[in-house]
Amino acid sequence: MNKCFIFFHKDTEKEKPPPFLKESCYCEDIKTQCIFIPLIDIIDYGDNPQKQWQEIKKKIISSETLTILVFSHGLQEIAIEFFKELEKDNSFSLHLDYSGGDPSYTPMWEQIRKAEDCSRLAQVLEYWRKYYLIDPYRRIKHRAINLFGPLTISTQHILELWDKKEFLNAKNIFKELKEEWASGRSPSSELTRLWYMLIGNKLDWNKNDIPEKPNDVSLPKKKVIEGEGLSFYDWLSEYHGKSKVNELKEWESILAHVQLIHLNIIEDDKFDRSCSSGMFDFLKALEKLDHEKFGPDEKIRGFQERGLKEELNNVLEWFNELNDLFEKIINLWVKESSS
Amino acid sequence: MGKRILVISFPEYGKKLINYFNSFLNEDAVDCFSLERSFFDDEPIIEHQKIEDLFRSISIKIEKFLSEKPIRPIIFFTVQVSLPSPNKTSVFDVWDPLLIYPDERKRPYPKAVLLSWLILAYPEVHWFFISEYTQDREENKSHLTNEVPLKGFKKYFSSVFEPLFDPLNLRNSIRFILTNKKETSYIPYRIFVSSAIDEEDPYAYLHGYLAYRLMHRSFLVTTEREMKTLFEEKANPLPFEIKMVFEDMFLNFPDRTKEKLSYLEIRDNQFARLKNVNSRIFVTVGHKYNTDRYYKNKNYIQKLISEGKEIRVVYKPSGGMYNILDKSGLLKEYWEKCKEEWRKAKPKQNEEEPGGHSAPGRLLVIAEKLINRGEKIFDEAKAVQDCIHGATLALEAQELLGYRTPTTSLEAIALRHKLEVKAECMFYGMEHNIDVKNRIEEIEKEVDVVAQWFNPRVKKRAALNAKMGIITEVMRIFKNYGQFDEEEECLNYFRGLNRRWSLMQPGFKGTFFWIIFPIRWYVEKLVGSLPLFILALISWPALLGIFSAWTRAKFFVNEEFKFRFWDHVMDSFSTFFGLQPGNFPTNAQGKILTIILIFLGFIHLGIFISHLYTLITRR
Repeated sequence: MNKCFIFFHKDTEKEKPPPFLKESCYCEDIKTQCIFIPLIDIIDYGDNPQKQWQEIKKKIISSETLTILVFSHGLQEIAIEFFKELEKDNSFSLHLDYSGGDPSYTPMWEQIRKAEDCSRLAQVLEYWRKYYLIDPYRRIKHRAINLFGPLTISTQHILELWDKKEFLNAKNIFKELKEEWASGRSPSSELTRLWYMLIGNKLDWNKNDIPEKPNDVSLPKKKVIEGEGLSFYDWLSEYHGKSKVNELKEWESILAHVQLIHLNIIEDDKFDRSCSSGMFDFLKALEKLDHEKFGPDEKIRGFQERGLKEELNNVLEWFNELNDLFEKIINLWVKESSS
Repeated sequence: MGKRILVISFPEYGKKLINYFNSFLNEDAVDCFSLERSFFDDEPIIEHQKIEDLFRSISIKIEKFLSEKPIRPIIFFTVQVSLPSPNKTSVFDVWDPLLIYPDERKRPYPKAVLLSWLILAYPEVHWFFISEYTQDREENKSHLTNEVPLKGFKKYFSSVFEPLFDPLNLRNSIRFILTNKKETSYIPYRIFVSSAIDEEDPYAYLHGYLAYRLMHRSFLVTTEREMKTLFEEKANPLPFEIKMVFEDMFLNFPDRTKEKLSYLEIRDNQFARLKNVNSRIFVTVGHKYNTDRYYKNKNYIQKLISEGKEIRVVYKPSGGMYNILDKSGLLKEYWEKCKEEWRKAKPKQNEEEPGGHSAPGRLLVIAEKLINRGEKIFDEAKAVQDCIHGATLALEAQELLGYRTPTTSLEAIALRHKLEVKAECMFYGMEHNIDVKNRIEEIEKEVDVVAQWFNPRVKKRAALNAKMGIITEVMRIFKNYGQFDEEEECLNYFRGLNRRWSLMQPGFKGTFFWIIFPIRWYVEKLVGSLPLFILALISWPALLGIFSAWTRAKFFVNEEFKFRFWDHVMDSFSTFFGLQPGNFPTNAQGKILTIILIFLGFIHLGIFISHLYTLITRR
């Protein structure tokens, strides 16, 4: 597949394309084209965005299957119509909006300016494309962690009360929790929200023991101007390419961790709830537990091996591990950048 | 007692945290402020106004929380962030307080921008955020951090150092970002770390503040537990090196478990990291009741000096902040640092354009918040620590403004000096006589630096006006605390300013200018110094006596008596002090000199007696 980076930059001293580049270059080895266009050029022709986009498209060499990746320094109100037009194109893949306030701004432009040929320039742009994909990762991660933050605190609280032998207080806390769960966000519903964040619509919601699709989860959007949000899996696919994501150990671990499996890897991207018992089952069982029975040694149905104290410790560990697994995926970029 | 911890979170989370905190703190110590969940979920905030509103609403809550005067207040903000650090290579959060996206840009604001405003605006708060990592990283092993993992975060809350002097490098890391921006490159950045060790809070705060003024981030150590965290050999490694320490010679921590800490050698063996500190300032009352300890310490200090350590001994009580700096051998360094700041504050050619005289608007808002709270502290301060707290807020404001935005900068300068002076006056560890000379010098220079940002036509007037305003406030504090000599010194300086001010009044240089101005100058000099006044009282009759002899003035005593040299001098004295001719003048010279002597005597004695009366009644 051919890749085409279109870089709409400001015409300032800091944002100068590399000296060798005369608007566009193509690197045969990696089948990548880089086009640098000053934003002012779009603003100057702001009256006909379709024509404008077609003019720019003429500069793209390859007509084969193409992925268009766009960097732009802001949207510049007057150019919004143009970007809308661009984002409608079938080949359009990603729009990254960079800013002078980004920590990456200076190093990115330093590297762009220093690129000595098209191949190096394409590498630099690829590197920074990946950097900008970290932001949606982190947004999803923070939402995921917030899902379980309150549960983590209550769990620590209960465990400490048990350690202090304050069983009645622990029971009362659990009773309050159950009341809250009944009227709002139960832990198992939070886990389904996490599923949605991870794989979006690629799960058969409301079928085969899978609850209804949560409708209160928002996901980071791919297009800057409008469009639907993408799940973590989609963002990972943007970063690594779909085939590589499915081989990614870190992704596999996250899926297993949240009790999901990838069904048909080659033909169709479908996921399902894993048959082996996991956190979802435990949370469901916990929600059903009578608060009078709530105690450190209680064994809940389906989890007969360990007492509740161990199981709750396990919830804390599970939460920590979830955070670490997200971090590992984010750190792939850090690893790449340091190598 | 007020609440000590404020949780900022979304409702479900906040409720759980309050219950949890209350269970282990065993008191009603936690308050909560709820924000919408979307903020914590990193939902994009596009409108600038929204982030401004968030800042405003959070600030109101924090100020209410702080108004209850919690000790080492903690705010636990349940957002996941990676903290700024000059050493970190991969940072995703944007901690730039000056970042602004126009709304039409449609770019989400990083939440770290809002957090950076809060961190800069509330230096007295120990901030905790949720770490992006669950595992303790190498640098966090000592629990000296502002980011906590969710599991087991409790332990971090029990080892909180006084955050006022930024020991954990949080504000400084945000400043580092500002320092590297062209428009705010004037903002100072603190590289060094120091510690103030004293079981008495006033001393610890005062020394910590002085270190902070010397561009050191500073740890206050008032308990043995804190001492162990920083200086015990087996304690977790620290991600910084402590360069300077102010140490009380006779340590007696309230939680003391270790004996003989007042023997310096034993102290250094118990807290071995102290041996690595290059510059140590021992503060002591210097008594010799325990001669064994005295000589052992003396010998140990000699040993440290021979090993190349910079050691100073400062005796209590001291004569104010400048005096401590002087005795510690740090005053020169202090002035050098000030000069460097003043040099950076000089307007450059291209900054003369409109708006060039101002600090960035965001920093101005933060500085105003700091100043307002500082003013409140000034009015309510009951202890030295309160004054130091307020002075630090004013100092932060002053540094963020960098002498730009003149009116607000002057407010910050005035407030800092007022609070420093109040701290000096309140402190029982100070000598009766406080160093005012250096303070006046600093006020004079600082105001001159700020005045550079005024229009050249009003520059001098504005500077004089500001100096008079600040010194009047300082003088009032000295008066309230019965520091008469210090008040008098300020008054003398004020008179000089007032004279210079009157020179600038339109139409002042009229007919009588050259008569009135020197007289006014002369009178100011007289009342400014009692010895000088006495010298003038002796000199005038003596000189006019000599002049009388030289001009052959004639006086009638009887027909046989001939006036000689000493008779002229004697006559001059009796006329000057008696306010009537000692002997009747018989020629023109004698008559003129007699009139002059009576007039001068009347003026001098009148002023002298009223001045003496003032001195006696006010002492």
